[in-house]
Amino acid sequence: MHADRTNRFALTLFGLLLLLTGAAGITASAGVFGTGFSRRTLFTNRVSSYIGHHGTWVWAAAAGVCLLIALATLRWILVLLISTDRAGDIPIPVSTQEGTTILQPAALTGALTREIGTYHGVDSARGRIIGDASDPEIVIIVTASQSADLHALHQRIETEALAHARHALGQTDLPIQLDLGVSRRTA
Amino acid sequence: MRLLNRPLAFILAAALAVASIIVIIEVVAFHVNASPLVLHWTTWDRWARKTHWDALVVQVWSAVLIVVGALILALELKPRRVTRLPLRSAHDATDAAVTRGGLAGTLRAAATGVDGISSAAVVVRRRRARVTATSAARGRPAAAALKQPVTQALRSRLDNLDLRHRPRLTVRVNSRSR
Repeated sequence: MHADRTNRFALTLFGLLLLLTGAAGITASAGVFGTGFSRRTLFTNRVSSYIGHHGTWVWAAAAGVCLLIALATLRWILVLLISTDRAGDIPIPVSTQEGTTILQPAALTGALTREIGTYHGVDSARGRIIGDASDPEIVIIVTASQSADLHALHQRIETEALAHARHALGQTDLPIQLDLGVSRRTA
Repeated sequence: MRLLNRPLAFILAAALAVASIIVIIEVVAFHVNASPLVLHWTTWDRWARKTHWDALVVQVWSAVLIVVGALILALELKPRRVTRLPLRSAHDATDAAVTRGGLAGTLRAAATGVDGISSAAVVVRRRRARVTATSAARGRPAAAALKQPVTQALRSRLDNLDLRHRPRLTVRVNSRSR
């Protein structure tokens, strides 16, 4: 899923920040920093007095940092809402310089799943192409029937269908993810 | 977990964006003597100037932050559930795997394919596959006699799959209760 790493990293950072803030609050409240400190008001400390004395530039800097955070989070929201990990039209390398051949991802996945669908023991097959169009990766999900020989099916898919896909794109090292599942329906 | 992360990430991103924009507005408004404009931060300022660190409200909010932070960390750092078990592939660029459900399904089919077994329940984890088969006949001797052929069938099915890391197999055969 797209933006997964960013989501995980940001949420981990946020969780850590909450935990540390809470721990600092409890520690200060319990008098670990001295009973005198725990009886002070929240703003009676060095940081607050520094901000109080240098408020003009500190708050201007804070506003600048907030602008960067706002821009970064808006971009993050856009990635979450509208971006996709699916590849666009794939250019096919040709020997001549005249024109460009473009392959639509749906055409390739359609051909691939139709071919796999004809294999013995296959219940259904789905596919998608992810990544950059110039460096695509195919993801194929095959559901086999319960009686299928998964090893034989895996071998056949790899030596026939996947080889055809690599040949069609002219990339012998085209990364392909193949997920084999088994249908819940009994034959 | 991945599905939960997206709405959580959206809420966090939206909250951060709103908070940042409010800070920018208030800083600018303060400089033109128009603050507070969007948020009545002066109330919070007065509250913080008269609240002590040992106040109950500080302890309660600190505890809330610890609990929420720990929950988020636990959710994010928990190892993800294995959904696919890698298979050996002839081509280096092929990342082939059998899904956890797929492996359970094929093991179930192998177990129920043994004569005398009426049903089987399979649980597949990262390193372990546990199969509990039920014999069609009643009585412990009938079930015990089936353990060896069921184990054999399951081992053969696992060997045949050519998994990169074969899970440890645990087989149990129960007799039919009624």
